Amino acid sequence: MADNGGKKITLKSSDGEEFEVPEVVAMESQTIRHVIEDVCAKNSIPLLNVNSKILSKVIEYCKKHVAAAEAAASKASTEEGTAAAASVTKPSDEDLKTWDAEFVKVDKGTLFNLILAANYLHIPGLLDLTCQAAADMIKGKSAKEIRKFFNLKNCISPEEEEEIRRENQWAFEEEKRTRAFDAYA
Amino acid sequence: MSTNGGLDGLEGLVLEMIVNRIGPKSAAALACASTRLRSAASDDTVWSRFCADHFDLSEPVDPDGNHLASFKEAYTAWAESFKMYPLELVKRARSFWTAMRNWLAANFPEALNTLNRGASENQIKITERTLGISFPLPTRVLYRFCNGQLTDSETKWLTNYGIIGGYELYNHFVNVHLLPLKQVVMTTRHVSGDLDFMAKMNVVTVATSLNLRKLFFLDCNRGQLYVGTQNMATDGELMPCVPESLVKLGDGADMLQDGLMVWLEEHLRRLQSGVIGTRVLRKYPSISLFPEAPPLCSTAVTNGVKVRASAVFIPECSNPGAEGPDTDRYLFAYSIRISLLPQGCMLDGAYYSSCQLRSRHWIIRSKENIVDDVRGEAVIGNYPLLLPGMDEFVYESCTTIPAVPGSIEGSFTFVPGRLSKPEGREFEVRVALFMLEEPRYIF
Repeated sequence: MADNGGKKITLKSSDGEEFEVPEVVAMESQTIRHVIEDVCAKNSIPLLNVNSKILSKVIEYCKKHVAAAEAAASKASTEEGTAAAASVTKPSDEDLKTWDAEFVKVDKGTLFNLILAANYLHIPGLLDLTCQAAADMIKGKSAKEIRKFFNLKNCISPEEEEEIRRENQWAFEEEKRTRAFDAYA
Repeated sequence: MSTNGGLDGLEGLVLEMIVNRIGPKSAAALACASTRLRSAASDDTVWSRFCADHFDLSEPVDPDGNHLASFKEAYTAWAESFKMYPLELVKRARSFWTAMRNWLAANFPEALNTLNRGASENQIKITERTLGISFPLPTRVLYRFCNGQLTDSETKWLTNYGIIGGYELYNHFVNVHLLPLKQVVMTTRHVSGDLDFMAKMNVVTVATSLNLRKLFFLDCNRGQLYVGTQNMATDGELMPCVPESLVKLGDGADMLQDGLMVWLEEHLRRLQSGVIGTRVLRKYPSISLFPEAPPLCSTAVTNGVKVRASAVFIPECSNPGAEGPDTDRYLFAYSIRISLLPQGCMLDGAYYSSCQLRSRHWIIRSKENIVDDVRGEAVIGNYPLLLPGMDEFVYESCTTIPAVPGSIEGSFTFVPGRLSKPEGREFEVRVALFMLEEPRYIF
C-alpha cells in the first residue's frame, strides 16, 4: 500500500535524543511532511522546540493513528459490501477514542507541552484532542478555582479585579430557567 | 519552548482554540483568573463565534438592534436579556423570525411591515397575569422576537396581510393573522363568553382571521395548538394543528417545542419551498393556502388547455366528530386554475386561437370509494373563454367527504372558438387527480 513502506526517518529532540520512525508516521506532522517533501535528502530532522519526553509521546500518538487508519483501510477493501465494512470499522473507532482518552490523562504541564508541540508540528488531530482535554479541565470552574488549579500568578489589583467581575457579572448569576417573574411576584 | 507548566504560558491561536471550546460562561471566569488570560478570553473573535453559535448573530447588535462596540458586549446584552430561557430555544426562535422576515421581505413586503417588534418580558408577564395563564416557554420566546401583527381594525386592507394567510370560498373569506399580546387578551376575553370550553382548557387565542371566522387556540397547559371546527360553539370541538408527538414540553434533554413553534416553522418551510405562496385576492396580495406545487397540486395539459388543481382542508366548516358512516365530516375547498398555452388550442391537427368551457365532471372519492360523481354546466356559473398566454382563470369551490383521505379528479368539456360560435367539435380536458389529505398540520 504505502510506497515508502520501510523508509525510516530520524527525528532529533531539542535535548539531543534521536528517534527513528517510519516516514509515514512522521508525516502525520504537516511541518515534518513539508520538510521531507521540500528537502527530500534529509534523513535526520532536528526539532528544536520539542524535548525528548514530549516527542516520544507525540510519536506514540502518530504511530497509533497511522496503524488504526491502515487497519480500517485494509478491512474496508477485503470485506464484501460497504455495509459489512462499516460495521467492522465502527468498533475500532470506539477503541481509538478510548485510547485517545487515556492518552491525554497526563499532568497539566505535559498536556500544555503536548498542545504546543501539536501546534508547532501541525498535527491537527492531536491539537484537537489536547485542546479539548485542556478545555474540559477549565469548563465549569470559577475564576478562583482556575487560578488555584493552574497555579496562575494573579497580578491584578483589587480595583481592576472588581471591574472585571462587574464586566462579567452576568456569567456568574444563577441561570433562571423557570418562570422569571416568580422572583418579582 | 515549553511553558512554565502553566496555562498562561499558552498564547495566541492555541489559547483561542481552548477558549472557543469552553463556552462563554467559562470564558468569563477565565477572564477574571489572570491578566494574561483576560485579554485572550476577551478577544472579540472568540466572542463573535459565541454570538453566532448561541444567538445566530452576525453583527455586534443588542436585542433591540442597536449596534454595540464589540461582540463581547453584544453577547453580554443578549445573555442578560434572555437569561430566563434555554439558549437553544432563544437561538431557534430568533432563527425562525429572521428567516420569516427575510421571506416576507422578498415575497410579501406589505406583510413584513405589519410585524411588530418583540415584546418585553414585562409585557408578557402582564398578559399572563391578566389572563391568568402561563405561556409555554417556546411561545414566550417567540413573542420576545415578534409581538404579532398590526391589527388596526380601521384599516380594511390590512385584512389581507395575515402571515398565516387563507382563502376565499364563495363569501367565506379567511385570512389568519398572528395576534399581538394586547389582541390575544382582547380576543380571548371576547370569544370566551361564547365558548365554554375555553375556561376549562386554559386556552388563549393566538391567531385568528380578523373577522373571527377561524380561531386558533394555544393550550397553555399542554402546549398544543388547536383550531375551532364548525361545532366549536356548540360542542367545544377542536382539532389539533400539529402532530401530538411533536409537542414536547417535558423536562427532558430534548429540545422544548410547543404547538405554536412547530406550526410556525412548518408554515415557513412551506413558504420557502414554494408549496404555498402569495396571490392577489380582492385587489391586494395575500398568502394563499392552496398548494401551488406538486405533489399536492396536480397539472394536466390536454389539447393546449392546462389545468392546475389543489385542495385545502377547511376546519371551521367541518365536523370530524359527527356520527354516522356517511355523514359529511370534512370540508375541502379546491382551487382550479385554467389557462391556454401560448401555442393555442390544438385539436385534430388544427389550431384554434381560443376555446371556451361548457361543462364539468367531477369524481370525488373518500378512502378509495366514489362518494360523488357530478356533472354540470359551467364552473361556479362561469363559462371561461381562454385566449393564448392569458392569465390563468382561477376559481374556488368545495366538497365534503365522510372520511379522509380522499381525492378529486375529473374533466371539463371545451369547444374551440366560442360557445356562441364553435369552430370545431367538443373535446374533453382532463383535471388530474388531486388529493384531499388527512390534515396532520392545519393552517
